[in-house]
Amino acid sequence: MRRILPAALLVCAFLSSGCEGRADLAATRGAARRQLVLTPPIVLQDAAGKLLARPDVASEDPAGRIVVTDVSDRNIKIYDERGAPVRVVGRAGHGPGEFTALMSAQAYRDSIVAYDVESGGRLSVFAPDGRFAGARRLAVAGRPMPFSIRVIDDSLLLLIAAIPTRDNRGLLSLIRPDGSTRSRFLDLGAYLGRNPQLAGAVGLLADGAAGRVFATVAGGDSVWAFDYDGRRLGAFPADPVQPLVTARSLIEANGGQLRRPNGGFAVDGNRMAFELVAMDSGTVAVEIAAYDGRLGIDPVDGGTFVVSALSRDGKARLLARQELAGALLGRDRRGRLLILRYTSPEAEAHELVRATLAPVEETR
Amino acid sequence: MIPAARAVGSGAILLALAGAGLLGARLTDGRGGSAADKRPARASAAAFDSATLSLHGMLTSAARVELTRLTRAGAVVVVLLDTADIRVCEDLGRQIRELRTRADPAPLIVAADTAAMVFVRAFARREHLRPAGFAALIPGNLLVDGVRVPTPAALVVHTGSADVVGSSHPRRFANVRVRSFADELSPYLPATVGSDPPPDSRRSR
Repeated sequence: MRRILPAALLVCAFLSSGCEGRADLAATRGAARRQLVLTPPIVLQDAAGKLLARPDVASEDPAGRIVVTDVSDRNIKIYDERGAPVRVVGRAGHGPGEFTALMSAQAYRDSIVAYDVESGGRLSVFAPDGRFAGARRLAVAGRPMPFSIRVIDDSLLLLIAAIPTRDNRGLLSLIRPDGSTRSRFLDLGAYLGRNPQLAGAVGLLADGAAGRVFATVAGGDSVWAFDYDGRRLGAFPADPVQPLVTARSLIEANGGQLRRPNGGFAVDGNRMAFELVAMDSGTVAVEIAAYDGRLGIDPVDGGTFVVSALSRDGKARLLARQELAGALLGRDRRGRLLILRYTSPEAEAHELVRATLAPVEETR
Repeated sequence: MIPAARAVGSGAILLALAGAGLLGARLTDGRGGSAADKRPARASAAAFDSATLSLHGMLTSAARVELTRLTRAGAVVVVLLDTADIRVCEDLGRQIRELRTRADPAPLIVAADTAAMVFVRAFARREHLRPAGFAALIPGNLLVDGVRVPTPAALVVHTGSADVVGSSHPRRFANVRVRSFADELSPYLPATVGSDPPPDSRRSR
């Protein structure tokens, strides 16, 4: 029985709900300029010495709890709706239910799926009570090794490849719960070029919701939009107000080298996208901040939030552009953005806020 | 770290190794080599052919003064970092937090060369290391004989004694190490709670 239970939970977690593709009919958002309105903050009540170390992808489970990926502690921290810690799931290590390079963890139906890029790319499933329920490998011949994944809905997962690879084609894959591929798309061969130095300066960010998948390159300047069948719907600047400069162009201007003679990096100080979250109605939010190869980026310190809506002509309308403190980590079950920020400049505690788009006139 | 930086960490590993510096005579390979061995330092890459280097030595007077300035505690855990470490060691933050917890109540001091300090401080804030202080210590001027300590390194130091024990991880691991700094220093950490200095490893071996 002890062996059967995890397998049964794993199967249950991956059963298809049959809603795949239903969201393809998503409407587009109106043209009016919006602004991000934040909910009152919820302080995460971490115990002393157990602070959320380096938060990444966040989501909300059906019970309203917030699931936060801690990529530094290699575990998943769960908080209730008031910010009280519920439990910690997984831990650093090499065994079942442990992580060596945790890339993302998200609520999936009533479970949690967590992706570890090491060990051949392992997707672990945890039951609602936090017990390890099983794991499967996502590496499939002919499909690039995922670097990270995103839960799109109850019936689709988005696999995001590491870039650059030997073959920069088909970098995104939508897969069904049984592991079969629904679509594979996004070719960046021409966009990235062939300079191996670029490997030190770029990463692929993507997310999907309501029938649309959006992708951008950290170190790039554009956002691409696709439907769930992989058909390209459009492309537009990640920041139309202050266009991004690509890492590729900076490296080319530095004689093809990432490192500068003074020890710095060609991309130091360059603004780059480092978080992307898909919203409803063909809308995407991108967070942008200046990068320094030695100082790094602390996403929780915040940046420029750019929200764009895909239009029918394949371009985009800028809906909102604001400077906000906090890291853009995901969306809740109502489609609101989940943003985690520090409660003080000393970075001793975190608080969660949700952001919605509201017409500018309503907020005056 | 942002996904882009996380994706590229392994690419910088070789560069970091090449710049790690020379090993001194008192750095052993973790397999029980004599700390009193005064053979000349090995400058070749073979000297790095170990994931963990045990460290036994004596602090310079300058290092002792700097540590005394920061804390009067009977024992101190010092983590020595450089810019390359914080860029490519994906597991460093977790290890240091674990070490701080296991070493408690001994304070944890983060040390770095002055030129690296701004980057190390940013790393400490981002990773919530919460050190008791930051010490400006040059890896090549930490131990007598001018031995350069490969970084990252974690050391246990008892005030009033020049003896220092610790370990160094000159070989970069992109992800979780099987044995962390806290695991490797655990034989010395219980002693840090009291005021007695650790056994002199040079005599006890």
